[in-house]
Amino acid sequence: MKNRISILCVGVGALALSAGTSVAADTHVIVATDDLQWSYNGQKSQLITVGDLKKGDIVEIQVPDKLTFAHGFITINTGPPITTTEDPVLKCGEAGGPKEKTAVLKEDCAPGAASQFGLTFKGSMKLIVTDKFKNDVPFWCVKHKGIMRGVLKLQIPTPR
Amino acid sequence: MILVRTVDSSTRRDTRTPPRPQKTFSSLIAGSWLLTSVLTSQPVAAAEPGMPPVCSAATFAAGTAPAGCSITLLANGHNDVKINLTAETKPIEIAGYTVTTDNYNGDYLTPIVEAQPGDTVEANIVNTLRPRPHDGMPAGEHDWNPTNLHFFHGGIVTPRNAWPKPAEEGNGDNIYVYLRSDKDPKVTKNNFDLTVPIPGAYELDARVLEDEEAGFISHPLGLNWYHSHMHGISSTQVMGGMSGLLSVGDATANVKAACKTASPSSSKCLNDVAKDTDDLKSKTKVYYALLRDISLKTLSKRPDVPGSGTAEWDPTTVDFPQDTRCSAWDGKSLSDNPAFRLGFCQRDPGTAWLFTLNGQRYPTIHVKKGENLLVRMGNVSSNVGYDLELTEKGNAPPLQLTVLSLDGVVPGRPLAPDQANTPVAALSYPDILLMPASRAEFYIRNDETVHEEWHYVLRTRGIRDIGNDEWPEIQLAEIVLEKNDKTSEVKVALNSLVAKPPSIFVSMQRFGSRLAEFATPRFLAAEEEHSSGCMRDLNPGSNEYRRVTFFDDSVTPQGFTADWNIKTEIIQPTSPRKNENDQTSDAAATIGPLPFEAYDNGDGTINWNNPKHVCIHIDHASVNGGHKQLWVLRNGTGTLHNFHIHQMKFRLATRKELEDQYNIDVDTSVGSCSPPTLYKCFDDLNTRVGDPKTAPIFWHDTIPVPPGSRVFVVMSFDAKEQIGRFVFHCHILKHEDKGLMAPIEVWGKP
Repeated sequence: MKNRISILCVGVGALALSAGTSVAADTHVIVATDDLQWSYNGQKSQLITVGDLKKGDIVEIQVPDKLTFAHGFITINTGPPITTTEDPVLKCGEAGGPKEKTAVLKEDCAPGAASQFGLTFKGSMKLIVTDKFKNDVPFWCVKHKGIMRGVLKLQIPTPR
Repeated sequence: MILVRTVDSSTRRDTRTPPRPQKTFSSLIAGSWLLTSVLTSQPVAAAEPGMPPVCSAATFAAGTAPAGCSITLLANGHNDVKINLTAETKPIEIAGYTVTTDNYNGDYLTPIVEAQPGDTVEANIVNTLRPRPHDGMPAGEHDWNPTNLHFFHGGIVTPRNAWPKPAEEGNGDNIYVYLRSDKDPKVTKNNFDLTVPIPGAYELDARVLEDEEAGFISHPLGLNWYHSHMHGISSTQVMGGMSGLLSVGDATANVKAACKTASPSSSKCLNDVAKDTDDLKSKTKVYYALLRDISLKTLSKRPDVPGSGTAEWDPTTVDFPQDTRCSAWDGKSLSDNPAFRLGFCQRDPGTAWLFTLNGQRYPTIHVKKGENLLVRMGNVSSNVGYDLELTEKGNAPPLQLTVLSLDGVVPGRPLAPDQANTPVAALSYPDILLMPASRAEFYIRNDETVHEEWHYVLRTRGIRDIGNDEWPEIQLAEIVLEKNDKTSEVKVALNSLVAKPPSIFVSMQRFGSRLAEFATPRFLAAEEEHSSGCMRDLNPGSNEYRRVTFFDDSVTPQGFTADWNIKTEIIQPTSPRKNENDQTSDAAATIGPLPFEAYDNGDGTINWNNPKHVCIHIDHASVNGGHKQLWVLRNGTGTLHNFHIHQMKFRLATRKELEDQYNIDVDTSVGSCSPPTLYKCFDDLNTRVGDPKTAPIFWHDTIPVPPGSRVFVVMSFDAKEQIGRFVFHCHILKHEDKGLMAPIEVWGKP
């Protein structure tokens, strides 16, 4: 399929979580498609790489209402064998819990909203990159698993 | 479905030699050629593999037919070829292990049925299986361990169960028959006779293979098969061995010598094609091959250690999740090196998955000098696909697989009688993907060139990156081409189907046979009626087509949870050309998504009234709606599926058809299935060189549908044999068992 989703990295002006720094945050939009691929930065693939994250950025996963097939997002351990894990993500409703200090991604929640992480959904789910984010975070679609995979990576600093 | 990678055989080596003395085919199938073990560098090689016994008029006359095989001369001058199949839970021998499985006649080497067009094949099926708890079959009584028989997978033959006859009573190729085991035979039926006539000489409507002009063909010659089709437990029963091969035509029927011409444009043969064909057949060794796999546990010995052992059958282990290791012994420990996987692999020392040819693990097949090997192979695995290739050992040169037929049909469209010798070269391929249920005939020559002994490994390359399940690389057999001092100039051709126009005589004969067949008022009604659950058929006047979408997860109205389900839609295409997804679906003609459980009454019967099911109306005089239907197969799951429909052959739709006739923008519609991958989703005839009449159009009865893709196929419901009630489904049987199947009803006046 050659329908291209336009680049949707949008600066949202959110403050970086890193203490003492003030860097404009970007939103990185990953869109699920009926071809069972992820679309990101105008590219579609069954294995996408979001390789330009900064602490404080937002990763937004979109599942458009018009899609025929259901999708969702969950992080994985690559194994082998591959297993799903919720450890990297502080989900809605988990604030103040043990993952508060370790989570590398934090679900952006309206007050009282239920988590969409690890479930199929339609619409949008936002994950904030915390200052704990260091190593690559692989993920897949909760429904289509190995056929829709990806990895989140921090941007490699430009040498001075 | 079989997929191939193309290499033209015109590059084959040029050779010359006088023909060998003839040897009769009967001597070959009687087992005169032995498959003996050879010294190899591999750790262990199995001993002589036996072929399954053949039930045919020839073996019956020769006294070599298996027990339970009988031949009866029919009034039409043809034979009734009958086998007895007793489904039983008994110990059988598989690759050095004694294992108790659900099987036929207490034997893994189930009988091969060989019958001619015009013959009738008959099976008496008796169910004496032990009760067995099953993971599948949510709507059935699993403790009864019921069974049935898809007696003619690949045949364009009648199920004999058209409305208003109860679907389960039809005695043709009818998978709605429901036989409980003999726990209480006084109450429930545990045996049944299936009797299936094979359309004879020029008796089959040629429009089923899209011949628009010629009229009639014989049933295609090739390899088909029979197997249990009990929804919910078919994966278990087929894995246990409840399957066998069924050949239409003699074993060498599709071995044909090419017509040698002075130039490509010439139609005059410089050679005697009939004589060369006889010569080629005389030096052809036939190797029927049941390609099977089975999972075992509680092993008493390692799979690679010679001798006898015991194991338990583990029919619930049916998955190869992504990145799962499956190892084999390197002499000291379990190694992930696939070179050591000689017909097996293990995830741990106590379990194994065996991959066998005729129940033999890694057999050695010898081909003597001046002889050729015809491998007639059926992938009768429940769930595993095989991407077959030959890899050379030592000094042997690369060797490709020359394909004579796929899925029971010689590639191409039917030829007119005066074109019967049109040179249509058999094509060779570096690998052939045999999805579960697919069959192939491939030819390996040892009569063309002078050479020393050559060794090849027949192996599956493994199939990966296809979604949530994948299949391992396994070495399946060793093929030895013995030192040869003969040469031959004869080339191999495709034995193309020949069609004939309906002469007055044939028409009258056909009309007469139909009168006799449909003489009863009940059958007349059956031609003209359908059940109340019929969804309307396509309207060819507005180029409607059908979309079939596979989903995962569902709960039926009855509350059954299934893993998979199917949605069918009728699409009304409009201009301008657009993504298939954006074409308009007739909401009133949509069925599902539903699993098969939604139709299953739980007692062996099907609800034909509610919910609605797919119906095809054959009426050439008025609607012509059954002819050349486009079906768009769409996979919305993360797993590869394998579409199959009964009583039917289909081909890939062409780009031109999709764009011009259905306003489908092909390039934006195929989804994740875009060349160059292992799969094809449509036939891009625009890029093919050659005469479309003789181009290698492949006919299939199964086809893989990769995750996230659309596959476009064209199928024709034109023959009276297709009238009745049957199914379409995923032929990865663990998927079919968990919902991925749908009923279909064909009615009308062909």
